[in-house]
Amino acid sequence: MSASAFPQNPISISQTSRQIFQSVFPPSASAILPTPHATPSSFAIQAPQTPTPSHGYNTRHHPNLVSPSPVSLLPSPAAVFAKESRAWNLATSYLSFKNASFPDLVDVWFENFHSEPAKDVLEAIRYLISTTDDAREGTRDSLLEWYTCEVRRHFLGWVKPDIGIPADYDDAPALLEQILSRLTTAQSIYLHQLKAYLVRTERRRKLKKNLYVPSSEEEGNDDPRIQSFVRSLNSIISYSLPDPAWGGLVYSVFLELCGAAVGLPVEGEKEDEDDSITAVNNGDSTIQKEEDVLYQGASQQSFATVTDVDGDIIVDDDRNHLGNVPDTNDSKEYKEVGEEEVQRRKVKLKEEKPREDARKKVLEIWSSMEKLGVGGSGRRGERVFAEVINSLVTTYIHNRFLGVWVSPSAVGQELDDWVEHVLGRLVVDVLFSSKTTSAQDWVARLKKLSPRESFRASRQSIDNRRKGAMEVDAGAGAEEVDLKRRKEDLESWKRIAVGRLGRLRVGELFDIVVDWPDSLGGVEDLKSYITSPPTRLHLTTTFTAALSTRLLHPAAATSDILRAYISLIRAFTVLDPRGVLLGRVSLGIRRYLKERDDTVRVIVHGIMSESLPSNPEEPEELGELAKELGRGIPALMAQQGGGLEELDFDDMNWAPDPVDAGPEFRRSKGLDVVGSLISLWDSKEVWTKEVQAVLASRLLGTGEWVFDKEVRTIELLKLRFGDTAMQGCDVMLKDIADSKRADTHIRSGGDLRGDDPDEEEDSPELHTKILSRLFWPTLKEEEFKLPEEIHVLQQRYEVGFEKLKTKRKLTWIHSVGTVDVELELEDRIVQVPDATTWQAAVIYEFDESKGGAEWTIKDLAERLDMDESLTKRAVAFWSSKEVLRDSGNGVFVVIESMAEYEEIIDQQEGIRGTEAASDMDRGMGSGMDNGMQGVDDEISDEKKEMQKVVTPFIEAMLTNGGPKPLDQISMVLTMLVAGFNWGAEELTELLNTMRAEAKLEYEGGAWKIASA
Amino acid sequence: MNSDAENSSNTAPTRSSKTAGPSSINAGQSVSKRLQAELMQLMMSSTPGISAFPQDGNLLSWTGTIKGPEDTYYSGLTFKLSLEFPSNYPMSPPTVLFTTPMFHPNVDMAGRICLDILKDKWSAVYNVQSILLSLQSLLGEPNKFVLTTPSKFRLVNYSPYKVIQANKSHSKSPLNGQAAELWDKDPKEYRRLLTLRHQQAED
Repeated sequence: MSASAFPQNPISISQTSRQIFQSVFPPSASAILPTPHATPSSFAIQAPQTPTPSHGYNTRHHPNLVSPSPVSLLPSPAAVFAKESRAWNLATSYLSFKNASFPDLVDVWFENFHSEPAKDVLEAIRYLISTTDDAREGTRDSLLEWYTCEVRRHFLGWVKPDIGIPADYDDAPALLEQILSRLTTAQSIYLHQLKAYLVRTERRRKLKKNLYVPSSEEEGNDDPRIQSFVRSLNSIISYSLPDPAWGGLVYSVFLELCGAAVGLPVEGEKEDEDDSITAVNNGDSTIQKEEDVLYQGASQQSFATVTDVDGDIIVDDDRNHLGNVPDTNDSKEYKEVGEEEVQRRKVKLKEEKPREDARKKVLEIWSSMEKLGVGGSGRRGERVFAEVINSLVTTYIHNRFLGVWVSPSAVGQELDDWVEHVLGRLVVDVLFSSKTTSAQDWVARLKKLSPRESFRASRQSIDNRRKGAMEVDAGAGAEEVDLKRRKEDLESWKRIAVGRLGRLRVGELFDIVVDWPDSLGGVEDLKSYITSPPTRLHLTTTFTAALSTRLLHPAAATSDILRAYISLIRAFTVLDPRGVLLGRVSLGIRRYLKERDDTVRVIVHGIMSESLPSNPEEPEELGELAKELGRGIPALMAQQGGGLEELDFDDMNWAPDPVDAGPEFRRSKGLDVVGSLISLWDSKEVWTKEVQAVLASRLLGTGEWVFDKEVRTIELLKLRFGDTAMQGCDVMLKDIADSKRADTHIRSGGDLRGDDPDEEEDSPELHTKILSRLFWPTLKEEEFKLPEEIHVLQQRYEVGFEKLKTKRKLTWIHSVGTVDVELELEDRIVQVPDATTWQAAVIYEFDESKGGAEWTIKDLAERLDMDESLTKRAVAFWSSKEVLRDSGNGVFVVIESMAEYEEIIDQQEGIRGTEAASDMDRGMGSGMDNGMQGVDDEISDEKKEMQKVVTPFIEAMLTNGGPKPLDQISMVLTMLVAGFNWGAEELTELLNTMRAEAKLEYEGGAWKIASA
Repeated sequence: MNSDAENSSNTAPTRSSKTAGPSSINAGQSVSKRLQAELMQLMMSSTPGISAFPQDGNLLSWTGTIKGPEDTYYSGLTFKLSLEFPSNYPMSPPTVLFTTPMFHPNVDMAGRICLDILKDKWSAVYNVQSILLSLQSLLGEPNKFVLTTPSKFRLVNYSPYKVIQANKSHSKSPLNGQAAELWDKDPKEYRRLLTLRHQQAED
């Protein structure tokens, strides 16, 4: 843009030679200085005002020819003007850039595009900048400004188009590298030209083709110019990198690289060491003023880190500062450290550690960005880096520790180490390689910067999106304070990491609880997290939400919920022994458990599972409850009345309730798992009833007489519920013991023997358990006819009993009891040691000697006076034992020989295919019915009761209100009948029954009373 | 007809108010509670020949059904009634009307009933069941309240319709004079007119 401001007029040869002469033997300035015709005349006045050059956007030096006021005391303005304009022309034509993009590498540019300036050009430049005269000063500055503008023009015209970020890119690292390399190349070239010719022309001869212009410390006054130029250039660069795209690009690259650097698994791509960045780096170093050979030799090793005895990271910054390192001792140290580092790195490089590579790469990119002015110091690069680190912590923790619950947990230690040695090192490396263009800044930065500050600054920039958030405590020079602070910083980083870990663990707490006790480590990790009320609250709310979505819904089996609850109690007892958290999270689950109908049953079955035969159908039983019960009551259980505890002034371990304990919080030190479950219901009756039912089924469901385990369980339960509550169970156990004696007595009494001695051999044995009816739960009675033999035995037994206990009568409960069945079939003997009485009764009917080997279920039911569904179940049972089979049409026959049976099966398979055959296997699928039937029976009582109530309501309603459709009937019933909760199906069933009884009619979509 | 029922189910989440319609919200819980209990009792006792049920689930408005007692003019016929309970029930009697056209000395053509327990002799111990039973017996025996009237009207020759006649001037006249007249005089005519009336209901 500014090129047009300096039209390069053709200059005659004679003029040129004179110009050269004059430049070699400079005449007195007052005599010959011309003003270049296109040079703004005002610069001479402005120059003293601008010891630091105006930055790039200031275009004041552009032609402003209104008042060409030459400096006084210039005797020959024309001569001066001519000389100057010639010099100007020569210089600018040499220094201006071709309208073309730069090649990718600086070297290439030097070889192909760069030409050593001709002598006259050098002279011209020198002429323009070499004087100390005030006026000449102005000229020099104006040339510098012109150069700045020229660079800008070229950059915007030819470099910027090359560094656009496409909306879509696949290879982010490559793209970033490309952009950075282009920018760095451009920057190097610009700077080279500047330094080689404009700022330090007098040193140029030493350089030859060496790009690495050593910095000269004696010319401190040059710094502001170069810095100003760099600043101007950087602002353009920064401007030409549009933020969302650029930030995103850097973010994605850094995320990947930093991830790799801190040990996250990454699709490892080993970058070639001699890549462009390195080269760029080398070229880039031309701007460095340090004469540090070592550094040049290992320019990419621009960092050094030492871990001191405290385990703290002391980061000695790289020497890439734009400016002088004032302390030469430091430099020496750097050298030594650097050498070691280089050696170490080399070894590592040979090992090809991707981690190290990535780390290096990050630093390379970062230093490139630094030089381009888009790096640290609160600029965009730092914000992006902070964001990257922020997400890295989370990602690392997630990748590394998700689902790792090994106990004892090393996670905390591991995380600490990681933060300290890996993450901390990376962060410090990167942030310390930050250098600023401002002299004060880097001097301050040169001191050992507290990592906390940098981290805090990073966080601030994340949080506030604020620019320039980096606060540097320049006064933090004192070593001790510094060390202490860095320690604190590491601590706070660790705290942050622990917090993240805690959040992760809270998130997976539900799984931890479910996996208990294999997940002890996870809980241990959490312990260090829940140290403040907010975190505790976070834990409880998150966990409660997880509970209600994942566990407390109808699809979860009660036993699963209970198991989770038990694990929860255990896990939270470890987590928070005071029980506040437990109390809070268990509220929901307890409330939910209370709503479940079968909670009590499942718990009691679990508690008594030791004495129950293992049930293959329900492997999910809560057997652990029995063990838990066996452990007895924790000592403090006795003190349940909380008030006493508070008054115990001798309790030296007393502590107030935790701050976040709710007002209803009761310290429940003594509550163990069983205690917690039992406290679900206040009433003991709920439990004792169920215990009795379970005990009854246990005592009666077997032919055994000895129930040691049961006695033990009941004794343990007495500890919980008290003797009185368990009285019924005591009686039950005593009944059994008494029965045994009575049974022995009656049997030995000889009453059982029939009059006919022959009969005895074949006749079955009969044992009886005599129950005190009042103390036993109501037993379900299914009436059916017993086989004659048994009936006779019973009568005889009665006689014996009445002899033993006068005035008492036996009432037989046919459906309760077991029968040892042995079936002799043609080719095998089937033994069923614990068949139920009704099963035995059914199979007895199939006895050939009784005449009937073929029965339909209906006939059987009639014959035995047995409920049809029960008969069905019995038949299904024997079918599953492969004793009976359906010979078709619902007629069941005995399978006398297996071979025959298999033949039939094969045949049927052939005919009907496997599906039907497998149905046969299961006894026409009635095995499936088996379970369902039980449920039906259970609820049918309730249903029948409701039917009785509802029937008159329906009658009255339809009598008085006329015909009504189903939904209306249902609605009215719901309104008027307490406890009516039937669905349409059940109601329809009843209505149909009533129609079958000719009470109702169905007509036109409505039910009505049958007309008589 | 559904509006009441729907309203009550929509607006009344609790059971007590659910059972009563919107009209009974002010009546308080005691009325609906009492009627609820009466309904349950009625349902469970299953007295033959009488029946009643809240209309569309509105507890303050019931429909009753009475079967004519055997050996009366009314045997074989069924009659519908409407029972409207006041909000201070059972302190006040319900308003009972025959909705089936009726031919009876104590029932006028609009179905209004002259029965002492529904008027001044009402007591809180009566309930739907006793009302319906009383009405059923009224069908067989028209009201003889006149027997308790002052002695100068005491009749030598007892006959219900004459008694009623004698009380004409005391507003205790039969509500249906024709029915009263025919009651004893002409059973055949009575039965014919009754059947005629009753048929109107079925048409």
